[in-house]
This record gives sequence, C-alpha cells and structure tokens, in this order.
Amino acid sequence: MPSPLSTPELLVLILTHLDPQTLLLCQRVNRTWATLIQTTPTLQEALFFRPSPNPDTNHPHHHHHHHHHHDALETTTPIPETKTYNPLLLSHFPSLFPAITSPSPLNTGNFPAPLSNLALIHHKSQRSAYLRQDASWRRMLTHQPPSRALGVIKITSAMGGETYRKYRIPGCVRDLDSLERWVAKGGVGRDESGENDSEEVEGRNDDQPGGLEEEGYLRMGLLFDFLISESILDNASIIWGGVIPEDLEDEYGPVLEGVFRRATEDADVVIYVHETVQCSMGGRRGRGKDSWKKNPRHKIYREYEKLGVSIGGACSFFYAASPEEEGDLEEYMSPRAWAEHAAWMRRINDRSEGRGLEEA
Amino acid sequence: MAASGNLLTFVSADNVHIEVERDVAERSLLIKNMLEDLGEATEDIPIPNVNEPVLRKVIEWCRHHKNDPPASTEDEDSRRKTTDIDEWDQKFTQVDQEMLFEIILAANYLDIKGLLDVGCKTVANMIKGKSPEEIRKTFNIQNDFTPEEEDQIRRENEWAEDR
Repeated sequence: MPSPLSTPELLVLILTHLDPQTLLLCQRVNRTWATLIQTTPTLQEALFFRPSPNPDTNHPHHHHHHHHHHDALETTTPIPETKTYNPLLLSHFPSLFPAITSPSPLNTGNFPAPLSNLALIHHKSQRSAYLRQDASWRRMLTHQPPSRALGVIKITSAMGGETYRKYRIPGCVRDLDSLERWVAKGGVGRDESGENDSEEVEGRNDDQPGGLEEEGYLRMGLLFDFLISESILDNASIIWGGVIPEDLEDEYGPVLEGVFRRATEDADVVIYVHETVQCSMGGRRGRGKDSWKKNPRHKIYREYEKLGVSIGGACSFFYAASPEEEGDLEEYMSPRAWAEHAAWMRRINDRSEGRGLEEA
Repeated sequence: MAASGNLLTFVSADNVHIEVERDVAERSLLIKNMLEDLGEATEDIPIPNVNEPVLRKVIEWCRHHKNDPPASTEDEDSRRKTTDIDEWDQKFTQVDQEMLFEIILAANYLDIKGLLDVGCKTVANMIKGKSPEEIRKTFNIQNDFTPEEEDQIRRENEWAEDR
C-alpha cells in the first residue's frame, strides 16, 4: 500500500501540524522519524532547538541595531519585535516566565522568580526526569527569535553606598561548567560570532542538533542552572523583554535605567539581584539549617548529586567574573517617590501629633 | 469524448473517463498550469497514478472548495500548528486509511495545497495522543531502534510527557 509516511517530504508536512510535545514523542517511532525531526529546520525551530530567522530580517537596520546603540540610546525606542515564548517551557516552568495573556510580545518582569512553584519541586517523582543532564529542555531556546545573551545586573548596598555591576553571559555558554571555563578565560564580553548574527541564523547548516557550542543563543539549561547556582540568587528577579521595572527606575533613576538599557541590547533576559552587605557577621547562620532544607535549591542539588549532574565548581560567579560595566549609584528619588515620601512623612507627623494628644 | 467549452475530461489510471468543470479542475495547480500552457484543452487529460474512486473524491473536494480564495504562497501558515479542520472537510476525510493516504498522494501529485493540508492535518490528528507503539500499530511502522536507543530518547524527553 502506498503511503505518504514513506515519503520524507510528506511526512514532514504531516509532522508540521503537530504540537511540540507530540513532536518530541514522535522521535521514538523509528529511526526515519527521529532523523527527520532532528534534521528538518522547520521542525527544529518548532521545537525551539534551532533559532528561527528573524521575521524582520528585511529591515535594513534591524539586525545590527546593537552596533550603533550609542546614538539609538536617547532617540529611538527599540523596534518592537514579535517574540514567541517556548510553549513547552512556559507550561513546565511557568513561574520563571512572565505571566502571559497573549503569546507576544515579551513583557516586563516577573518579580521575584519563584523556583519553589515549579512542578519539579512539588513532585518528587518527576524530579529526575526534569533534572537529568540530557533532558531536552536544557537545549531549548527560551523564546524565538532567540536571545544572544543572558544579562545579569547586581546591585550591592553597603555602608559606603550603592554600587552596580553588569555582566553579559554570551549564548554560547551552555551550562555551569562552560560558564566556569568562560569566566576563567576572562569572560570575553562579546562572542566573535556576534558580528554577523543574521548570516548565522539563516545560513547555518543544521546537521548537528547536539553541536551547540558555537551557537550563540540563550538556552533554558543555562538560565535554570544559573538561577540555582548561588544563594544570592534566591532573591533574584528575571526581567524579560528589556523593560525596566518601574519601582527600580523610581529607586535608582536614570543611571540604572541606562545600565538596563545597555544590558538589554542583545539580552532579552536579565537577571537582577540586589545584595545587602550586612555589618554584623553571622546573622544568617543561626536560622540557616532549617531554611536550607526547605530551599528549592537544596532539593535540586540533592537530585543533581544522585544523577551525577555537575553544578560547576566552588568559585562564585559574582566573585570570579569580571563585569562588563560597574559603578556607583547615586542617591536618587523620582518625583513619584518624593511625593510618596512626603505623604508618608505627613502621616507620621499626624500620628505622632495624635498620640501626643492622647498621652497628654 | 473530447471536452468542450467549460467541461474537461479526466482519465483515471484505471482508464475511467470523468467530466469536470474547468474551474473545479483548476483547483489543481498542475492542471491549471497545464491548461495555461495548452490554451484550449481539446484532448482528454490523463491522470496517471490516480484511480477512479480516489479521483472522484478529489474532484468532490475541489468542487466544494472551488470558490475558496487562492492558497497563499507563504509558508507562514504552516507555522501555526492549528489542526482545526472545518466540518465539511472532517466528514470528507472520514474514510479508511488507505483512501486517506491515496487522497494525500493524489493531492500532492496534482498540487492541490488545500486538500494536501486537510489530509496531512487528518493524519496529524490520528497521531496525537498516541504512544509511539500505538503510532507504529496504527500506521504499520517497523520499530528499528535498539531498546537502548529508544530508551535514550525516552529519557531525554520524559519531562515533557503527560502524567
């Protein structure tokens, strides 16, 4: 009996109509199906393994907008791109993505990033399926068209004032091991391939679904493992779509706004973390043990240990990596913050006056 | 049996003559281009590889859809994984698997994009919700994986399975 399933061209046409979950499953039917799913560009794009060509490719300036960002900084807002979140990641890691009402565009922050809401934390029986080293979600792009980098912004509050550091982790860094190697090599700010990214997206042959080393795009594996890599990131926020959260802007003003803007040049995802350096030592130690057991990172680490998954070396990223940019944050109060502050002061005054009367 | 005016004559692979209105026949890009090259078609048009029952089904589909807007050449819509099929097409594709496959092959040969899409979507719907083993059974596909190979793929994608 003649069958369209034995014609690769027609089988691809059929598979094109499948959702990503079914498509992953179909790799198990036989070798022909597996090979076809793993080598057909459109199917690899549908699975978010392969970057999809930018829909705005024809726009003459679009692809290289980050090369002339300096003049773009004040005058233009970035050209709105239509971004599509990876639907599978969205349903399996919902709390790491912003709340979505429509599939695009990427919107603003998820504040903060709650690891504890993930299915892999709630359901112990599913943990190994998620956390194994070769789980396919690790190789998936978080969204399409993908992000060239992961941005990291850290603000440190200490006695002397507040400082910021901005890091850029290029997309070719796939996991914590390669992050460590990258940091050890001095953390080259720009990957060389970044110069002609449009050519890379369209012209690369894709006969190597596993060979991601030279692909400079943010994959879910790095985002996840980076988030769980350090205790300081327990209070991190993931900011999607390059939009600075209003309260941050209010608190730190134009300086931080500029930092964010530069961080989001080619990173659609920015991890923001605020560290407060305490003067009194050992304050955390007393309550440490119990809360560590409840910490989702503890559960992930234990599973990683069982599965033999590396979580990188002992060296802290924030200690070892060199930032792309750093500086002081001057005290700033936005007009809105001033108004709120004034209102608050008035309430305090009213209350103390009121109390004064009662006591009298 | 030459066709005249707006009526054409298809000759199926099993040598059955079937009359078709020209606008219906032109749902097939293969036929449309051929007619444009020929100008006026006076001869019977042989449709090799397509037997009478399949050809009649194909013509039935083309007749129902003769007023559809022309298919867009963009493959933009292949990106949207909608497997929605309109009601008439759903009834139309309620045939046995052999007939469905023949329709797809004929639509591919005759270059009828809309019908090819409907056929492929119908097969895609048959795949959905089945285990790999059930898919193999449904379509009579041999499993040529070693157990280790299949297990490796299963483990990589276990996180995405329904539980």
